[in-house]
Amino acid sequence: MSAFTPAGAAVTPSHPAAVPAGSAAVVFNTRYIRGLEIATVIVVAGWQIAGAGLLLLSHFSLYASPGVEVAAWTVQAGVIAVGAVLLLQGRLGRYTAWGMVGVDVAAGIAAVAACPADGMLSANWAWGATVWVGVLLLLHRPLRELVVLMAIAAVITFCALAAVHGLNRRSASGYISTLYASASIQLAVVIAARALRGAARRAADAAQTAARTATRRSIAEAVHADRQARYRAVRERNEPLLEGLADGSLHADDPEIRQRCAVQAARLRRMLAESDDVPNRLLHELHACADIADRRGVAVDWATAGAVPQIPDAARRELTEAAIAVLATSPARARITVISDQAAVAVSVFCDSPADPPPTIPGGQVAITSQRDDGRLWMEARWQAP
Amino acid sequence: MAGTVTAAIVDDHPVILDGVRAWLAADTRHRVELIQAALTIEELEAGPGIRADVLIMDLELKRGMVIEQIARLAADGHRIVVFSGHNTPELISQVIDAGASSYLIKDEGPAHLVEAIVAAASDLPYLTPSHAGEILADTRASRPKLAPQEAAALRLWFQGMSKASVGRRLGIAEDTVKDYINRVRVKYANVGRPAPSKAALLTRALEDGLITLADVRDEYVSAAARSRSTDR
Repeated sequence: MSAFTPAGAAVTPSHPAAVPAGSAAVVFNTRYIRGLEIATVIVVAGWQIAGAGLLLLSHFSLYASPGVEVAAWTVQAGVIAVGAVLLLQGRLGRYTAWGMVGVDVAAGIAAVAACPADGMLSANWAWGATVWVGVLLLLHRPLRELVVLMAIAAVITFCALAAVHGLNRRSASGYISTLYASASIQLAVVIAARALRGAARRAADAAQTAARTATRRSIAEAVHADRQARYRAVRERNEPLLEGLADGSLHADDPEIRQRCAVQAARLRRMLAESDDVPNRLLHELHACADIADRRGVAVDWATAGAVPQIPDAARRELTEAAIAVLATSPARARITVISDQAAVAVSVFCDSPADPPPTIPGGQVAITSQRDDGRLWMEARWQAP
Repeated sequence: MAGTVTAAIVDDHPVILDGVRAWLAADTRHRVELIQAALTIEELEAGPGIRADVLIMDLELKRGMVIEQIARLAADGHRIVVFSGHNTPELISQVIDAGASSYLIKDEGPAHLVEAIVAAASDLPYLTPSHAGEILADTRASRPKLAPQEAAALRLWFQGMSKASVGRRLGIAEDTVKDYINRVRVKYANVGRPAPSKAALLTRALEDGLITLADVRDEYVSAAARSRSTDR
């Protein structure tokens, strides 16, 4: 795949398929780069037919070998067709592009060699056509590569001109004015396309930034409302427990009351952790739960694998709730692990708890599996992106 | 494996050296004999330890990370078990790609150090839970393909289960669990720089029937063929 690198610009993703969905680069690539590619194909194919083709036909009888001219023209037209398909599919890599430039140049040399001596400039359609084909093939390559091809094409005609005429003032001035005319148009087209591409990329970035800011604001508002609701819920569950302990109707030496206290402590700790602005909320909250267990004397060992994806708040709470329930059974040692890929997260607690696996948590966004084996309790809570 | 495996350790924390000695002594079969404890790699190379069957190396010595030195020692044919406080997947993958036989984080010392050393000395695979985590986190396009049962065993092993428990959970024999996990290790043998330890691991696995040629890709096969023609 060709990583397109405009001269002097940073490397950017090359094709729709190569960039992650949802980024500004996608909009930029699908909308603008595709347009630029199609426009280039039309311009180059149009030149081959209307420009080079008409020049060839109008001087047809003058060529040393008209057959060679037609063959060279056809080869270049074929290169354009294949190059256009590869370009639009994003499969025009560096080596493919330059391999096809080689075919293009070879056809150009054959056509220039068969030009009549007195039509080395006027009947020479191949000079310009060779470079135009290169404009298509090297669209996503640094500008200097196209300049190299322009130099190659210019040298070919220069050598042919020198061979048939020798160098004199008339042939040299004709050569220079033709070179100037064709090179300036080709460079103007290519440089303008690159400038447009830069402007389009900045516009796409700016639009994306604005959208992201708006999204963040609405998320922040929703999070705030959600948090108020949870404060109320925790208070409603804490109050009877604390009141019961205070008036003596609940006893702190009752194992069930101790477990309820442990769960409430972990929930409170998690809620405090939820308000922290951290890159990964799930890990942060699990750390907070592990912290509580740690303070109660549980030796907690902790490991993660993979980057945790975005998880909806409710599912994230179910995942931590499952871990809290197992850790509240007062094991001596516990291993908490989080395995993630782009679309799934598995939170597991493996511990030497004597208790039975906790019942599944209502909510149903998270699948919970548990097993008791060899005096140990293993629990896995798994969330899968819908 | 007949007789005792010799090992040498490079670590600049005396408390680690004491801990490692204690773990080796706690092995009832006394399979590993520590012949040198060095504070630096230079000290190890000047002493008898460099001829040990297995080198135990801390990843971070006073002068910084020693991944390059691990690659150099592995390229010279040494079997290396890395024993480190670091537990980041990128680091583990670099160390294994450099040619280390096993990677242990310090918590895994008591349960896995002796086993990892004994396995490395015989060119047998040994995969610690932390290394399993690194493989589970691997998203490189070039990563080896794991069979569903291998991936399931790897997950449970990472989550902390013993191999016997993994077997009961998956309804398979403990030896089958060992084979699955070891096969995962072998599939990763030829990622990264070439090293004699990797080729030997692969050759041994093919000879023991742990993997077949069909399980591994072309590059593994050619590496194994190379090592066969030079080693034997």
